[in-house]
Amino acid sequence: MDNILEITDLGKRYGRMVAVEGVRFSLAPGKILGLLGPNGSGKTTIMKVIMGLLTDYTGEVRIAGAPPEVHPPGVAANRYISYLPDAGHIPTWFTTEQAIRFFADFYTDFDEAKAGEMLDAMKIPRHKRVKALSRGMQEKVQLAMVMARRAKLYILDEPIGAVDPASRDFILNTLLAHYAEDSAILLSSHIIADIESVLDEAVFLREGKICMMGEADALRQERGMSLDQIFREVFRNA
Amino acid sequence: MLRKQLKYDFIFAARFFLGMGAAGIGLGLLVFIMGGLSQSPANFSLGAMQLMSTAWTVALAMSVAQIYQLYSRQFFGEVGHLMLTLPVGRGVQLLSKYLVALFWSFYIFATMFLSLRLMAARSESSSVGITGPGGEVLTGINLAGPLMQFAALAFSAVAILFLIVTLANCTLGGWRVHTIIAWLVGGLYFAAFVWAIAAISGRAREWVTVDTSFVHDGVVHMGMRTFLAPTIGADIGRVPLGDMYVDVYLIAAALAFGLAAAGATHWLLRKKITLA
Repeated sequence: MDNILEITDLGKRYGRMVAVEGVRFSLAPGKILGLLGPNGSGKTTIMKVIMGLLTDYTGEVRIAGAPPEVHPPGVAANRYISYLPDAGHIPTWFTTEQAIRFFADFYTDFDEAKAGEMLDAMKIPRHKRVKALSRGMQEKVQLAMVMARRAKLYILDEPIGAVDPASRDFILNTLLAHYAEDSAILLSSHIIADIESVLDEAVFLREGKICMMGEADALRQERGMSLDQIFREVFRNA
Repeated sequence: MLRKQLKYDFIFAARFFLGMGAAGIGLGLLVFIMGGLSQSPANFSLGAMQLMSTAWTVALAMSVAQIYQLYSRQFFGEVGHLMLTLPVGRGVQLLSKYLVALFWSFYIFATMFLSLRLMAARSESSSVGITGPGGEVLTGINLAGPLMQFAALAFSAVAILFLIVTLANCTLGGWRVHTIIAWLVGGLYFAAFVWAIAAISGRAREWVTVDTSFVHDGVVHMGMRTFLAPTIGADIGRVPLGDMYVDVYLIAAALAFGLAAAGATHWLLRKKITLA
């Protein structure tokens, strides 16, 4: 089966500043890959390039096995991708019910029933405005909207970055429970200890370049330590 | 997808514009009622209209700000992460925002006009207090010609505003800096554009004789004269349309400006957008 995502020699500059350089990795169906690195290491930049939010990059991004000229990052490819950005992206004056309606209107693969079940499980009222919810609840609403889509690729930028430890567990369990086996997840985080248990593969980024990558179990075995410990060792002086 | 994009852009903008327009008409109605109770209805109405002209100038500026925010937030703010990853092309999103901005621009001008008409109803003149070049008091409104002119001007103004915001974002980055500069440049560009169009049509010489500030008088009188085209003194490019006159040059120049700005914005969004 074709890889869902293939990145080849990706480079992105902001003026003279190199954000990402020479990044190369792929993601197969059914896998969860973690982009790991400190703030400013290029994780979000890579995700935004895949989503078509950033242009003027070098290298190749291949989505769902299609050549870039057929499905370049952007409108056509985004039909296969469900994206959770780092920042809050749902209009805060929306109620949760309006958010469901919005996603259902634009995405044919959005499962309204599934979204409703997730919100009910989180005990989030349907008629409450997003801005009236706590930060953690807002993250959960956004995650519910993203995971309620039957996408081939889920891209989650710092999904647990701004929530309490109990909510982190809930979010990670929701991720595992609601993605299909023929889909894949690309997630980024700098809180390695909480997410490493769900990762199949890991890519460590430093200053826009890959400094280590491989299967999570293989890296743990090779180094004799957890991914969190590897991260702390690799980025001790970052 | 255009229909869905229009639906949500319309809702996003309606939250601000509906209330403002309703408040304006409400004020007009209030002045109309109070004028009837006043011992001097004509003076009461004229006084209220002068006050209201200033208020509507502020309202117009707020409307421009709201249109700017509708565009800026959805493309370059945090909500942009949602809007720009929808399965909707940039061209469709831009077109939707142009159409929504035009609709609400018309709405604001219509409510402004209706409000002032209500206030003027008890004055000695049955017009909104504008006199023609010969000193005659103007009566009656025929909207067909002015609406065409207003539509062209509104489209161009919106397109140029969007272009300025996109240019600022693409070249500067850092939303605080670009927001301030986009506001200043956009405001100057808009004012210069209006003045240039007026100069083409020969109206500018009328305005320089007005001894009040350009911002207040220019914006308010432009709106008035757009709806009362027979008062316009320019000869070149005027095409008779029934008992109205339409400035062909004004419409052509405005549409050309607008289409150029729209095309440039579309290209920039596809090629240069940065959502840092």
